[in-house]
Amino acid sequence: MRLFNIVALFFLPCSMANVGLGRASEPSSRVKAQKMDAVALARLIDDHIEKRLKAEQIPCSPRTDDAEFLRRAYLDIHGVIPTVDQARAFLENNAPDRRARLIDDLLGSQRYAANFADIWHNHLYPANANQRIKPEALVDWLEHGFQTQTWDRIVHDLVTAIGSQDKNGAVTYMLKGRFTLSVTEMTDLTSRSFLGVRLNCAQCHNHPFAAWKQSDYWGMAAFFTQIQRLKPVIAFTAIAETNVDPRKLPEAAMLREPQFLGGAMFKAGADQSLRKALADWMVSRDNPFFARAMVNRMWGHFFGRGLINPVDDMHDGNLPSHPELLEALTEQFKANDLDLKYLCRAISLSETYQRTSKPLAGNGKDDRLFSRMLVKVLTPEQLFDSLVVSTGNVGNRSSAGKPINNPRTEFAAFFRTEGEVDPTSYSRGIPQALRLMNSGQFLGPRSEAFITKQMVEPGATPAQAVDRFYLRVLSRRPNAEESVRMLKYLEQPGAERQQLYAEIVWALLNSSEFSLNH
Amino acid sequence: MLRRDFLKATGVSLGAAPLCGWLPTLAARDADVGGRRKSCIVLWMTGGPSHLDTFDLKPEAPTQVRGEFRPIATSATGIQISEHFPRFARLLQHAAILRSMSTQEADHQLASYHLHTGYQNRAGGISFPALGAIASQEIGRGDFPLPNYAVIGPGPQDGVRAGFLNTRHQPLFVPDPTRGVENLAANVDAQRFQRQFQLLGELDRSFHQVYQAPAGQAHLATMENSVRMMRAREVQAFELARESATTRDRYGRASFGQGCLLARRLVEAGVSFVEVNMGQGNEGWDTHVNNFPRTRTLSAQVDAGMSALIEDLRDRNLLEHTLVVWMGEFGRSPQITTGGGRNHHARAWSAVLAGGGIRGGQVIGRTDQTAAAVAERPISVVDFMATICRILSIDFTRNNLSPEGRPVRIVQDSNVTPIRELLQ
Repeated sequence: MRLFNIVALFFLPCSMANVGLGRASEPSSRVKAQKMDAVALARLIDDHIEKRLKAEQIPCSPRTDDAEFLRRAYLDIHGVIPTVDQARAFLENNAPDRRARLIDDLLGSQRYAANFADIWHNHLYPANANQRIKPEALVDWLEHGFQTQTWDRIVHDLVTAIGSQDKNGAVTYMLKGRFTLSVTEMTDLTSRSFLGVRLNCAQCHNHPFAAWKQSDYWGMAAFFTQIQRLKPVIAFTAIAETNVDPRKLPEAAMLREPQFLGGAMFKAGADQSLRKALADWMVSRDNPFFARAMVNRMWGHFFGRGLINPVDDMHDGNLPSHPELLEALTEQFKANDLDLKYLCRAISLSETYQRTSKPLAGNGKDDRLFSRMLVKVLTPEQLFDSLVVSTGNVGNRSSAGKPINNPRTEFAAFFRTEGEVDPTSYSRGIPQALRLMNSGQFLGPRSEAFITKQMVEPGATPAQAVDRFYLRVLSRRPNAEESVRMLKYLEQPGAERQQLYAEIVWALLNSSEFSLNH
Repeated sequence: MLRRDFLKATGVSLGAAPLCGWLPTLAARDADVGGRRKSCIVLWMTGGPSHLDTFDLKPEAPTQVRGEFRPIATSATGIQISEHFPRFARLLQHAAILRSMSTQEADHQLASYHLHTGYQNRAGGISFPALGAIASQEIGRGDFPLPNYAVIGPGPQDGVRAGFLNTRHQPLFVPDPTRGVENLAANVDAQRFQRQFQLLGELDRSFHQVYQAPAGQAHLATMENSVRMMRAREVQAFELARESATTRDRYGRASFGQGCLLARRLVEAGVSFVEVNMGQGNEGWDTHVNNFPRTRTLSAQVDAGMSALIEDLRDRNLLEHTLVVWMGEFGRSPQITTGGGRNHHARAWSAVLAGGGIRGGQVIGRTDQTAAAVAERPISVVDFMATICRILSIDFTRNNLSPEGRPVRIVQDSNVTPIRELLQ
C-alpha cells in the first residue's frame, strides 16, 4: 500500500494518496470545481448533510428560533454574547433576510478578527509559557492578519517569520520562554495546526494507524533546523535563520534531507531558506493538506465537531463523516482564494448551522451527522467577555476591592484546561465553580445596589426587570412559564426586592445556559 | 461521543472485562489496610533536583563531577545521603531510595507530563489523566465532600489534570497553603445562598430537560459538588491556623513546609492524593547555575517539611496507609558547568518513597561511578507508575475510555514490572 502510494504520487501529482480521503475524492481533485458564492455553498452543505441523514433515517431538528441563532452566531463569530441593544435590535427585526444580514455585520466587524486571533493564539502558543516574551504580540499580529489577509498569507508569514518580536509579532510562534521551540515541537505544531496531521507518534516509531513512517517525520523536521534565537540573549525575542546546533536535538533524532510530507525531497541551495521552501509548498494550491485542514477546523469551530474528528488528526484510519462534502468545501475554499470570511459565511448561512440543538426523539443519539447543533462549552475568553457584557462590570477588582491586573488574561489562565479540548466537553473544576459563584468579581460585593443600578431602568415593574435580566444574561426573553416562576420568586416574604433581583441575576449567570453555547 | 460524555458526566468508568476481568479489580479496591484506604502525598521538586547532591552522592568521583556535599550515615545500615538531610537521615528505616530511575524526556514540560501521567505528551494527542486523578477515581471515596486530588503550591506542572476522566477528578489547586481555598465563602447569608442555589438548580433542570446536553449536566454537577464542599466540615482541613505555632515551625515556615503540613491535614481528613509543589522558575531545582548554594537551601526546606510530615504520619498511625513520594521530573548532569551548575539529566536519577506499607531502609538500583547511567536495575516511567499503583491498591491493568472511545490502560502496557523489593 505504502509503495503504491509513493508510485501514485509520482504519476498523479494531485492524488490525495496517504491523506485519508478514500476513493470518493479522486474525481473532484482532478476536475476543477466551478466557483460558487457563499449562498450556493451553504445550499451544497445542506444537500450533503440531508442526503446522508435521509439515508440513515435520522430526522433533523428544526430551525432555531431567532434568539438561539442570535446568541450562537455572536459567540461563534465574535466570541461574546450580544449586548442588550444588539439583542433587541435583532429580535425586533422582522426582515426576512435578518439572519444573513447579521452574519454579514458580524463578519464585517473587528471583533471577528479578534475572536479568531484569540482562538489561534491558544492553538499556537502554550498558556504556561514565560510571560517575558509578550504573547500579546502574537495576538495583535493574528488579529491584523484575520482582518486583512487570506489564510495562505497568514500561515506563510507565520512559518517564515524572522526578526525581532517588536517588529514582527509572528516570531512569537517559534518562541518558548527564553528559548525557541525545539525542532520536534515546531514539526508537531506546524503539521498539526496547518496540515491537520499528527505526526508526533512517527517521531519515535512508524505511526500505528496512519501510514506515516519515521522518515516522514524527520523529513519534515529537517525544514525547522534553521531557527535560532538572535543574540544578544537579553532580548530573548528575535529569531534568525541559523542552523540549529545538532547537539540540541533529541537523542533519537534521525535528521535527514528535508522532504515535503508525503511528497518530494527538497534539495536546498547553500543560502536557501528551508522554511520558505516549506511554506511555499504548504500554501500551494496543489497541497493536499493545507486547505482541507482549515476547512475541517472551521467546520469544527462552528459545529463543535469536525467532518474529521479530532480536527487535527486526518489519516487513513480516521475517515471523514462526509467525504464528498469535505472535498467540495475544500475546492470552494481554494476557488475563493482561501478567504476565511467566505468560508465562515457559507457555513453560518446553512440550514445545518441554523438548526436548534434541542434533540428530537429520533436524533438524540446522533452526534456525528449534524442532525442538530451540538452544545459547546464557552471558552475562558468567551466566558469572561460575556460576563463583562452581562454585568457591565469590567472585572478589574476582586471582591475585596483589590485591583486585578490584566483581568482577562488572569481569568482565562484560571479557567484554561491544559491541552486541546473537545469543545463539547465540560472540564471546569471546583475552583472555577467557586470563583463563578462566590468571587464577586463581576457582581461586586454589594450586588443588590449594583444590579439595580446597572440593569433595572428606573420605575420598571418586576416583570420588566425580569425581562431585562433574561435579555442581558441569556440574550433572550423569558418564556411565559419562566416569567411566572420569576415573579413568584420575587414575592417571597421577608426579603427585599433588590436582594431578590440580585439572586435571580446570580442564578442566571451561574446557569448551564449561560456557560454553554447551545 | 455521547456514550463517552454520559460516562464522563455520570462518573462511570469502564473496566475492560475481556482484558483483565472484574473480580481482581473489585478485590483490589477493597484491599484497604486495616479498613482504611490508602493515600498518597507526592512532594514534587520542580525543575529536577540533582541526584548527585541529594540521594546518590559519588564521593569517589572526579572533582568536576563530585560536587561540594559530603555523605552522612542514616538509620539504615550502609545507606548514605547528603549531609543536608540530617533529620530525614534518621527516618530512613521508613524509606526506600530508588537510585536507578531512567526516563526519556529531558525537557521540563515533557518530562513533567510523562512522570505525572505515565504517557509521553505528543502535541495534540489524547489528554491523559495524572496519577492523582486516577487515584481519585480508583481509591477516592465517591461520597467524600472534598475533591480527592489536591495540588498545593506554585504551578501547575504539565500533565497535572484529570485529562479525559470525569471532571470530579480535576485537581483542586491551592497555590498558597497559608491561604487555603479561595472563594469558599458565599457573598450572601446561608439562607439567601440556599434560595438562589435552588433557583439555579430549577433553571438548569428545565434547560437539561429540553437540551439534554452532557456538558450541562456536568456543569450542574460541578456546581453541586462545589456547594457540598462549601458546606462540609472537612474544609477545616484547609485552615493551617488551627495548628500550633510549634507544629508549624517544625515543618518550616517556607511555602513548601506549610504545604507539607496542609498535605497531612488533607490526608487526615480523607483526601486520597495530594501533591505539594516546591519551587518555580529561578527558585526551583533547575540549577543550571549556582547548583550548590541553591541545592543546600532547598534541601534544608525539604528536610524540615518531609521529615515533619513522616514523623507526624508515623505518630498518628497514618504512615502505613500513606505513601510519601519525593521526586522531580528528572535528575541533573554529572558534569558541573562553568557557572557551578548542572544541566538536565533523565537517563539516571533518584526518587524516594516512604510509608504506604513499603519495605523501608533500602536502596533500589545503582548508577555507575559518575551517576551518569544506570548500572543495575533500571526503573522506567511505567515501572515506577505501576509500583505506586500497586502500593496504593490500584489495578493498573484496568482500562479507561479515551475521548475517541479507545481503551487506555491506567499504566501503559509495555513490559511493566512493579518493583517487588518494595512490596512486603
